[in-house]
Amino acid sequence: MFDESMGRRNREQQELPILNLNSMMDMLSIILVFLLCNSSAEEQDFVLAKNLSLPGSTSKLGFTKAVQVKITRSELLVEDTFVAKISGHRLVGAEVDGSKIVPLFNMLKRYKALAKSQKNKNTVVLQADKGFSFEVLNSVLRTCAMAGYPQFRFAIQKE
Amino acid sequence: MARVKVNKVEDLNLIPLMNLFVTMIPLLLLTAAFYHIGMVSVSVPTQSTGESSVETGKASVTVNVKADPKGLTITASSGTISPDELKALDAFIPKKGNMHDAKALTAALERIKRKYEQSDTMMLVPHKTTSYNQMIKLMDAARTMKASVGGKMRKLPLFPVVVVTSLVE
Repeated sequence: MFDESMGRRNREQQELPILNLNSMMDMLSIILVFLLCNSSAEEQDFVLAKNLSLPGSTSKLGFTKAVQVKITRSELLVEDTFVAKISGHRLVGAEVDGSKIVPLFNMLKRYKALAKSQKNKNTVVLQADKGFSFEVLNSVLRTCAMAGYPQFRFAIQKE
Repeated sequence: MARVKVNKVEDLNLIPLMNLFVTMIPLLLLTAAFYHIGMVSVSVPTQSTGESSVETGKASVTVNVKADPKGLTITASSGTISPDELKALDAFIPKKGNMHDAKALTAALERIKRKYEQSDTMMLVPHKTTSYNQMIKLMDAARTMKASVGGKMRKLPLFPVVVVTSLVE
């Protein structure tokens, strides 16, 4: 025979506490909406080079897919291919012919020959550290133009 | 004996939704951009053998902004306006501390834009010591102006087409 105290214990064991998920759901919904608002498919294609900080700008122009030239504090790159070394915001050891940076010119010519898409075929996306002077920038711009890329999109950090 | 129907409120099963959220949040966190990248459109002048693209029918000017260590020198050029009229548009904006005075540049360009509304091109001539950051600030200053349209303040294009000068042959 069960006594009364044993029956009460059994009932307590069977009644599992229900986890209240409402607060958790609220929190997750807010995080999800925030992340969905902040995610942008366009920016997935943009890989910011290491060792550079972009200048801030009020420009609203979005990302353009084109050949990327990166002027970091330590190297000059086309896409992710090394072109020349940079030290103290100056090009070091690169062959220069007038204002033409020869290895950059040759690399861009190669990219131009390999370009499949006609869209943005004359455009270079330039990622450059905000501390560079126009002297360095000018030789890069001139070289790009000589290689057939007279249009530029300067990458900036939106303010 | 009549049966009494008991309306038992069923709890909504939130577990599948939770699973979805728990999967989506790490995915979005991995792909989220906490800084937003934008672009500034710029070109450099190139030698061309074709016809000039400058419209000769409309009164418009190309503004030249020369940035040097002392300040900004503004001049204008045009194929349709007399040199005397162009000379009247010249201005010099001295540096404010270490930086160029972007607000004064916007004001000076606004005066030119109000006179020659068709104009949209600025030739930027930076000094070799001008920093990239400073160049971008000057382009920002030349991009839009605030004007009252129908009683409301709007941002209107000022000189959004920027050419960084260095002739490439």
